[in-house]
Amino acid sequence: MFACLYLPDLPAEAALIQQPDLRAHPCAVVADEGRPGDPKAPLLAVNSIAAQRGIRAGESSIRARVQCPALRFLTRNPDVEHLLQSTLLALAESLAPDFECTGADTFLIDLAGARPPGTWNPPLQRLRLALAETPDLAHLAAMVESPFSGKALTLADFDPLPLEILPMADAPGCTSFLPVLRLWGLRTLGDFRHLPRQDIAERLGGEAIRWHDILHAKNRRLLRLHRSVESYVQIVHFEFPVESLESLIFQANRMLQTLCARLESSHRAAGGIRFELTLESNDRVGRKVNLPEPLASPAALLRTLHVVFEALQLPSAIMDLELELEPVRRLAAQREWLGRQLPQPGRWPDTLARLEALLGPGRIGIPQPEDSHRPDAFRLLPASGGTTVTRAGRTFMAAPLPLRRFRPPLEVAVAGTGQGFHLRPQALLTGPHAGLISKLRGPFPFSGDWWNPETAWRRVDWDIGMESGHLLRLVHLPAGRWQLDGAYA
Amino acid sequence: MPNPTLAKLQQQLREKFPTARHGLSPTASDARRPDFDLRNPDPFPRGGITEIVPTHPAAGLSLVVASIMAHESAHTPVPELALIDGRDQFDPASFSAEDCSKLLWLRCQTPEQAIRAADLILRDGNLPRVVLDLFAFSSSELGKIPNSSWHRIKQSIELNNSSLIALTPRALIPCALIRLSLSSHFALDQLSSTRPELIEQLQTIPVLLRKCAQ
Repeated sequence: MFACLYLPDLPAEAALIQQPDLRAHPCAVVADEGRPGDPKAPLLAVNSIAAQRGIRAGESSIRARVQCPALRFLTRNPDVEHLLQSTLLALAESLAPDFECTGADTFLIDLAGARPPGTWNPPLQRLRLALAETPDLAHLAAMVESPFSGKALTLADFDPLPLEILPMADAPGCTSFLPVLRLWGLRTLGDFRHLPRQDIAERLGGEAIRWHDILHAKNRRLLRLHRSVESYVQIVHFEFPVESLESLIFQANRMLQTLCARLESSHRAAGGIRFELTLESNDRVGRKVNLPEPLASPAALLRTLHVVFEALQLPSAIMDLELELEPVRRLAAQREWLGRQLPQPGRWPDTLARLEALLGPGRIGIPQPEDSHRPDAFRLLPASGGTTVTRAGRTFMAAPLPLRRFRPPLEVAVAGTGQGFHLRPQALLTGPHAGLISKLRGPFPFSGDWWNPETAWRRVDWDIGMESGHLLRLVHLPAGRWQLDGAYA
Repeated sequence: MPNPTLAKLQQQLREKFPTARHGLSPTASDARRPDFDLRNPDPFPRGGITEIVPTHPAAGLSLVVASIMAHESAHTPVPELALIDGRDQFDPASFSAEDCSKLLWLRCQTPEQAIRAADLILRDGNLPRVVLDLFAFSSSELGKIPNSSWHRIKQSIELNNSSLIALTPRALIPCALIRLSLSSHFALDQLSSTRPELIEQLQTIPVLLRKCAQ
């Protein structure tokens, strides 16, 4: 059995909620695209009184005004419409888990395995509920205003209904077979239902056959089931401020159990964890940990969170904890058979997640130098493997003795001979390696991105040997700035 | 002049636990044992900590890392070598893309982070070789690392039969299996040589060799 929830003229109902005194008058809602006062703007919906006076949705405003001079025009209220839709959705969810959101004002509910409602107390005055054997019959039944009987309508119950309730009757531009039926003198669904099927196929075509089958309950289509978006967020407000790590971990464990169960039920895994702590001082501390490989195990996720929580130094106790898991698809890849494999592949994603939590985002990976002379140009590839590593990308290499790069570079003052960019350094005046320069290699001028004024860069490198034995890379930048980029050690 | 009480105590301990410590080389002649060569494909013993201490600011400590990277296999799904970079000083631009692809780089900021990262990665046991670079830290910063941390790391290494190569500014690790003194001294003129030539010139002196159980 199927049920249909239908709220007729939802935009008009939404507009009238804020102006209840207009309910006794014929009212119409003008479509959004119509400019205010535009006589050609079409009507989006009309209330029941306007419908009784022959006003139909889709008519132009000016025509409706001529037809019914007392017609009141209302503006659309999207917020209240959304509220009404949410009410309908909640009502549908309370009846059965499987339902289709057929339109903004219509829900078709599969009552298989659920108890059909015996009584009907609609939360909204014009809300209709109809029961029938098939979804389309239930939809048709809801088109007609009739008291709820608590039983599914039989095929015979549809016979006295007028042909005009068929949905294609109002569809503009649709090639309807209704005019032909009217020409034949047919007025009710029963008249149409009792016509021979073969003759209908020959004379009226496939659309008429479809409706004929629907009225005989032969057509039971599948519902396009509505699934609400799963939330992977949990917030806990502590009754007493939390001061110890153990309490925080205990609560996080409970939350992760719930969130991971939700992930499991949707066959997903967590690609990242985001947490936010609200402190007693009203400050908020949050961080997102990207997991190198999707995980769905609460224990593994808790170990990662444990590492992050341990490193936190908070100025006051914790009042709220918010946890969010980022749902991603699980990885499915066949292992390599011929190459060397990790001895403990199950541990590796967990370890990487904990290292990421310890070091922070972007601090662990496989380095790839960029094919550029720009200083410190590199990118980090994911450490979890599976990424194609470019092994022949870089065509040049820096000095044979690898540099130990200072991040950030050390600003120094330099004494030297010469002018401007051609200054030849002789001594470092400041910094941890201040002293006379005993040996010098250079200059090595570099520049790049000169075609883009915002990212253009220019520098002159010097390799210097200090009397202390240190070998350093000294860089002369525009505007007379000097910095130590690193040491050859 | 050795302390006679200490010498007597050592003698008693040696008699009571004859297999506890083998090959401890307190004398300079014993220290210069020639059974360690950095140019070997896998010179660092499994199941123990190798500590490398440079004697000069430009002793070529980065060349040791380059030498290890050069011997790594490139055909693995995940790099087999991890570099725990204590103060984030590794420069990918100083290496080829192929060498970099053999390396898992962990960019730390403090000695505590570096030790915790080493502990995590060694307990994981998936990577056979780990380089822990603590060279950029001062003695006072490194002095805050408790000795128990090193023993804990040593236990993880023995359990997983992996190897840890620690680069330190001074002798630091109490339970190191091998301590090497890197005595080479590179000058500015040598920056025009090739990297293999510089690696050939690396000089290591073992100052501490314990018998390793391979």
